[in-house]
Amino acid sequence: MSHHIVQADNLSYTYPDGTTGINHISFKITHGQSVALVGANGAGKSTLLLHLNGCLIPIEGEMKIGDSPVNKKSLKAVRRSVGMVFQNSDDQLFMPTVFDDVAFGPINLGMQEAEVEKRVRHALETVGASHLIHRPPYKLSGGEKRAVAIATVLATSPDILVMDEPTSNLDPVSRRRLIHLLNSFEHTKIIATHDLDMALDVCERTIVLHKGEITADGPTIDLFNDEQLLAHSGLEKPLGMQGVH
Amino acid sequence: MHMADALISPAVGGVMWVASAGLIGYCSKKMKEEVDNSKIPLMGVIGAFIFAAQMINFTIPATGSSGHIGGGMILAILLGPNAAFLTMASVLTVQALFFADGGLLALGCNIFNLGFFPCFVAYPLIYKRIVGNNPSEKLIMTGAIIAAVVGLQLGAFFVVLETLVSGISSLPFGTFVLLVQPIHLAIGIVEGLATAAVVLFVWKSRPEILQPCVSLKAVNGYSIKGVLVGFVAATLVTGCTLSWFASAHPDGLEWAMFKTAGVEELAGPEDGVHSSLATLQEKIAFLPGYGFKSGETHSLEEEAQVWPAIDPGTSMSGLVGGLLTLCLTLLIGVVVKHRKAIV
Amino acid sequence: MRERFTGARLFICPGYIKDMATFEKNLFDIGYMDTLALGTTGLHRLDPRAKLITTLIFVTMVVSLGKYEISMMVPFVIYPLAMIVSGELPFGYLFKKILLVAPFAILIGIFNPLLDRQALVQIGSMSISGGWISFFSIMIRFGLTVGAALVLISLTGFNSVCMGLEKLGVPRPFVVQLLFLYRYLFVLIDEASRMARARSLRAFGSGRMQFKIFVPLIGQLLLRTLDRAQRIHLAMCCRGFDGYISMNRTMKFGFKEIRFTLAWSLLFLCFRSHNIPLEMGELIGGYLR
Repeated sequence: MSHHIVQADNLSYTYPDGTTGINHISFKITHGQSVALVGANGAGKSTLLLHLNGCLIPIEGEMKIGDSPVNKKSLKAVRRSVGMVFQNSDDQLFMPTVFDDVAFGPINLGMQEAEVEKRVRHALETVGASHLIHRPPYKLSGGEKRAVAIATVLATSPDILVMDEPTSNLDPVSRRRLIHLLNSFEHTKIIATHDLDMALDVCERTIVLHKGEITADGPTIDLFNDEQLLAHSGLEKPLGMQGVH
Repeated sequence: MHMADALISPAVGGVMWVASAGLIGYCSKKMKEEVDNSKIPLMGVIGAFIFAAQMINFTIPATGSSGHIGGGMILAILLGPNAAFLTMASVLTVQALFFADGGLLALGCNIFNLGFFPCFVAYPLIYKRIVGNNPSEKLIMTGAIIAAVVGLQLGAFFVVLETLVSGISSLPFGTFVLLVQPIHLAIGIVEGLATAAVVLFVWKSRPEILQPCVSLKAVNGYSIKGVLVGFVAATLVTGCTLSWFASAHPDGLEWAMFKTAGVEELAGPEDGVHSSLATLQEKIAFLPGYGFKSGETHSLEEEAQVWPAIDPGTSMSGLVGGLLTLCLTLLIGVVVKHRKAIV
Repeated sequence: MRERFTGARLFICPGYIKDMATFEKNLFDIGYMDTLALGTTGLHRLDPRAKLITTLIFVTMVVSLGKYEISMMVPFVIYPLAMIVSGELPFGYLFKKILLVAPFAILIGIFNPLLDRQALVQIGSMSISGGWISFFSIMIRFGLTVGAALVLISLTGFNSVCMGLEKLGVPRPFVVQLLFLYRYLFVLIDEASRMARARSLRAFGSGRMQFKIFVPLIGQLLLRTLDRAQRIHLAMCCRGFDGYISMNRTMKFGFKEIRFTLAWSLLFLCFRSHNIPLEMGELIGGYLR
């Protein structure tokens, strides 16, 4: 099961216009771990996520998924084991119907028609969206879109789930449903988020990013109790913990 | 200006369908060969952008009217001619199906008029030549405006040709041209200005976006020769089909230019409506066919005897139309060849 | 609901609300026609290719009629009407949509009565000129062809029409392009309307969109669009996109489809070759005599 390990070694990335995305980042995430990536706007969360499946190739350092470093050669294998859910579901759902969208990944992996169909149905069932199968994406609500977006990734059965702001723009009920769903997954999960309450519910470990560097890495509950650290990183104690005096 | 099903004959619609289909096939083939597959979503989303952007109008001061950006030129500048043509074609298809702009049979005409001229004539021959490889604010502005105007003028001229050759409308050639071209000159200037301003905005905030289309590599990257061969072939087919059509159905090609000669004397009961209409007609008929008056009595008699009137001028006018199209094609051919020799 | 909102405000509010109304109306229109396509009648279930081919034959036949042959056009009305009735489509809505685009046809057609004033038909002491006849023929042709296109979309849905086109041999990049355009039409019209609304709310009643505001607004929209295209491409690549988009649709051109296409085409041919209203009139006239 060694290929479920995510490891960053001294990772750095600078954008073409000169802004630093991330700076000398190192961490190791083992199989089945659920990790929250928190930090203020512009801390480098999204940049880091894009390295996880080779959307960006590091300028310095190395990103390893399992045993192989992420590079042009390993791209296909990496993308098969790392499933990425984007922040804006409209960007992720580009096909004419929900079925086509969920089937997009499996078809590109070269699966046969029957297998594709089976996977689509199973993925939609998992996220509780089976009834949406023939709908066009523009007719879905925000919560439904997010569920289907997650299904599109599940259909290729990745080992590692990477999510960018999964709870953004969701109403409280949809958000709660999503948290239950995430907790039911046994995948390794890496979730970038501003929703610290969700991080508290879903992730046992948290990495705090600040200006492209890691300022803390440890158990979620410990970090969120460290008010000085949170304030320094442009964050605030989750609401769920504020009531406790 | 969208061509409508109601105004064209099946022959014209069919020929333009073939021409547009050929171009779509050509561009699709080119797109398949393209290594950079990021253009696939880009084209779709920009097509949707054109749609949405054309719903936002700005007020033209002191006229009470409004304008919006043009489609073809901005697409060509952002995507290059092949991708732009496909995108424009898809925009027009959606418009035809959902908003009944044009129609199914006229779709070929519309794709050709509004896609071919900006993407394959105005963009490579005017915009690129003016802007060249060192874009500057002034060059982009001039290039985009002139190219938009020329593209639209050619498109409008084709609308006139297609309508006249179809013979459903009775507008005389001269009147039609004088009616359509100046209006489209005004529209072209407004659209060109808006297009140029938006392109400049993008160029100023993110110059790298316009780079791939302005660089020398892109110039050599596509060959206009293939497109041109296709166009010449299409026009030849058009010419042949039309002359066949002209001989088979003479009244289908009636050019009202010749018909108007006899109209004056044939006017119906002299009631108020008709006489006021006649004054109106005199106002709009800038170039009525009065020069042909010598034959008027003759044609009058003939028309009165048998209907539909077999006008002696018809086959003549078919010939003129065919020749005109061919001349235009040849002209474009010569210009392109000339340009090729320079590059 | 939405329609009522747009309709009611169209005339009483300043320009910016009208802008909004057009946006919402357009979105609503497209969405509504797709909803119609979700119907379950036999016509809805027919293979899209059958409807596509029949519509094309219909349009060609109608357009091929001479410009004075109004009487021969009349029987063709049966096709869109039959589709509307047995497809359970809302007649009033489609009719309004046709009227909405009529001005263009009127604009071109209206010159015919002015220019072509040769008397063609004599009814009692009143004579009708060829120009008026051809004007009405333009209007009828217009109604028929536009109606046929609207019926096609309402019975089939845009996506299925595209899939049908692909099976009929339309190049794949073009079909993919159509599907992408359609998918993001909704997203972008929504985005454009939000931007226009933000502007108009700060314009405090002066509904005019000045050019110097128009340009950055459209420019921003374009930049956002380009960013979005990049993100979509990333999302595609993450799921193994390598330049080829596959869409599996099992379509069956079976007995029903053949019957539909053949029967209608034969009927159209019959309408085209025989002047049925005239023959019927003569028949009845002869009988009366």
